[in-house]
Amino acid sequence: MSGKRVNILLLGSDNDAKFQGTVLAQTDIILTIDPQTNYVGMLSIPRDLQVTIPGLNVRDKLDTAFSYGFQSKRTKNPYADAAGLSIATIEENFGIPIDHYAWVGLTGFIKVIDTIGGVDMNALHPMVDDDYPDDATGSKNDYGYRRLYIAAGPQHMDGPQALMYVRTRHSDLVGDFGRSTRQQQILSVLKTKLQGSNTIGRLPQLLNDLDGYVKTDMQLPELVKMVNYAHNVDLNKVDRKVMNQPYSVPIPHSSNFAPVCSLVVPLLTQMFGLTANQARCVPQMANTGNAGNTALASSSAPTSLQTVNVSLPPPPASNALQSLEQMTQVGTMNLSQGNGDVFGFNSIFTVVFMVACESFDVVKV
Amino acid sequence: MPIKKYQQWHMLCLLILLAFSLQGCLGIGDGGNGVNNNDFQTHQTKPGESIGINKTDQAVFKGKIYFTLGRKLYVLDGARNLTPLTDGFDVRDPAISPDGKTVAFIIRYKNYADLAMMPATGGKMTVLRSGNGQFIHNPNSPMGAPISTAYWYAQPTWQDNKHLAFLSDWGKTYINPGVDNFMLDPQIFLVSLENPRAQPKEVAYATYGDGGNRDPSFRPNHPNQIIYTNFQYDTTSFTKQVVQIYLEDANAIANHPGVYRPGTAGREFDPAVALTPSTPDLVNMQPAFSPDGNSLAYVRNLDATHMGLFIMPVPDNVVQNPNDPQVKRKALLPYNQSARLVTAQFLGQPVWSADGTQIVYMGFSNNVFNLWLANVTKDAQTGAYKLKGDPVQLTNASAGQLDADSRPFWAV
Repeated sequence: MSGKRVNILLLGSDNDAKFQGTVLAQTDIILTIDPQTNYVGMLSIPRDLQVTIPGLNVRDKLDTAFSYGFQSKRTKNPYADAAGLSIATIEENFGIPIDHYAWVGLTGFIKVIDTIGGVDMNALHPMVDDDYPDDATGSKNDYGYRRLYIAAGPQHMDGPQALMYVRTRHSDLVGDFGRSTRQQQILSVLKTKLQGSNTIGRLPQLLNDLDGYVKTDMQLPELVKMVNYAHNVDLNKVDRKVMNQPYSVPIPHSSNFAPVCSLVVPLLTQMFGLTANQARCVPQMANTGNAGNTALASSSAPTSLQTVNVSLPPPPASNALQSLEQMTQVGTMNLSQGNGDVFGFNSIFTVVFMVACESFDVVKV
Repeated sequence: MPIKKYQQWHMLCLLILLAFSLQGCLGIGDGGNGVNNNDFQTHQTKPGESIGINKTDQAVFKGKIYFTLGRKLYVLDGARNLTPLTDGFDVRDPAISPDGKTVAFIIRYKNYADLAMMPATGGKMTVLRSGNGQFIHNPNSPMGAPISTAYWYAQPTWQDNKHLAFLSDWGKTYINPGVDNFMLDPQIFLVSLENPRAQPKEVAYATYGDGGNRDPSFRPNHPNQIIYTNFQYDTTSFTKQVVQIYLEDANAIANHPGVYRPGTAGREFDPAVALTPSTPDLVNMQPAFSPDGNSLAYVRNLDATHMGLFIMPVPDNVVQNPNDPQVKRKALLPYNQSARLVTAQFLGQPVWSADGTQIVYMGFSNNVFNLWLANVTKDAQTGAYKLKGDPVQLTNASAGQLDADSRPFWAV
């Protein structure tokens, strides 16, 4: 990988359109890679962060931008529309130019694990969580929670259980550190199992599992190149930031959060190599602005979704698995990337895990 | 001609040997999983699904083994009859009362669990405590996450025929662990069957942040002593796990109100004494008392891909003054006499037979969890245990069929 900095928006959500016929993006992560300085950063923007959604002139949670775009019917591809509006919203609110996006449905993660017959694990310790997001197993509430209690010790986990094991973050004293350890543990087991059971032989079924659960505007060689680059990155040097407190604060009488622009703008300039003029922060509440290229957001009733006209043209969307499947069907054996990643499946798999786990660490397993 | 005849026999023998050899290599006759299917009698568990039970003389045992399979409770008797006791519920962690009449168990739901019991032979279930609750608004949550009034219950264990201990996060609403969160980690509580829905008695505390306690059981012939696994992070870096087996006077907290307290590692004052070292990243867990209460089978993580089944003696007179440095040292001494019986990629949940000559545990081979039977002998002079022969595979399940996270029980 060489050339200029690349910013990729990683979006993750369930996608069974159970939430009033639309899809929310529960995960919004911007992966930034600067090949010239070998800088890698991951900025996670909480779904509850309030933003100004361009074209709609509304202030709402970031995850609703994906939803509004999904319903806009600008093109025949709702995922491209959804990603387009998410990208436009991030660029409008923070000035971060997004080059590519990848959207992953968490159900794909579950299906892959179920296809290989689940995973056998030694759970490191009991996991108790009263606020686990209920977004992947049939909930009807888009902001719903569920409880979980996973016993310690050896056990068999199916897809939903494995997803819980790698995602839960509450009630663990070491927070994301413990979560990262669990993710690496389960991914190590998974990759061993996939290798041992002949991935190529199972490729049709695994492709079928992921069909419809990975959407991206990247071509397969670009995706493989990005993942290959990531394999060589020193994890200790990955700059991980979450735009929660102190970068955001609760908005009174609301479940939304407002960015603290005086802290956000310096963060953006540092992580994304932006100048103070390029970095933006649209204040969502009094006393949270006063820095960088800010403008007070206006608030009004949403425009009709059919008339949304986002200034940024939506990026072309493709189903990564469709192109992958076509390539395997025509027998283009030269797609082997020379690193055992036949047909690029492992690279797509890695992106699925990166989004499902909300962690860059999975590329190293 | 004699010579030619010899060559024919020689060739025949070679062919027979080759056939046996190929049979072994190709897995012919063993179901392709290294197991001789002829050793197992098939029992249907539901339409299209069955499990094999070892019917050979190597798998003989006395008593009844209760375990869960596909979240249904089963009992396997010494004649190797497999009988389902529940259906339609997610059942875990059976425990038989000392008089053998009642089985306590857990019924799991999506967001809570019930503590229940029924006759040991099956029949009408009685819910002793329900963990059902709801999500309510939490004005103090920085991320708007709600509070849940639901509870988990897990791993019941009988103190006597009238008292039942169990794990629960029941303390989360009133215990302040000293950090910016409430205490979710399950701890050990005790109720009387005369009033099981009353406020439970606190028996063992958890340290905040690593999942709390697991695997409680009372010590035979010492009904006031309880053993369990305690999970916590180390007090130096707070990033490495310290997983230890604790022994405790089950009445210590009740008899000394205000003395002991749960909370954060290094700041709490705990009524338990550790029987295994507090070395960071060392995991000793899932203790099970021998029928006389003098020995302990337990599981240790040997490395990332190996676990061991061990037996060690139980120290006496260590629960009265658990925070006395001398007592602490004394309590750790028997650990050095631990004898490893079995090594495997995964193993867990050991339980003893009533006569102390066998241990059944969850073993893992050919990518499947099964119940395995280990015969053990005790040296009359030293009291040390050792394995007698190789462990025998008792069940032949398919992947994920046997619930390895659910503790079995071996009744008389």
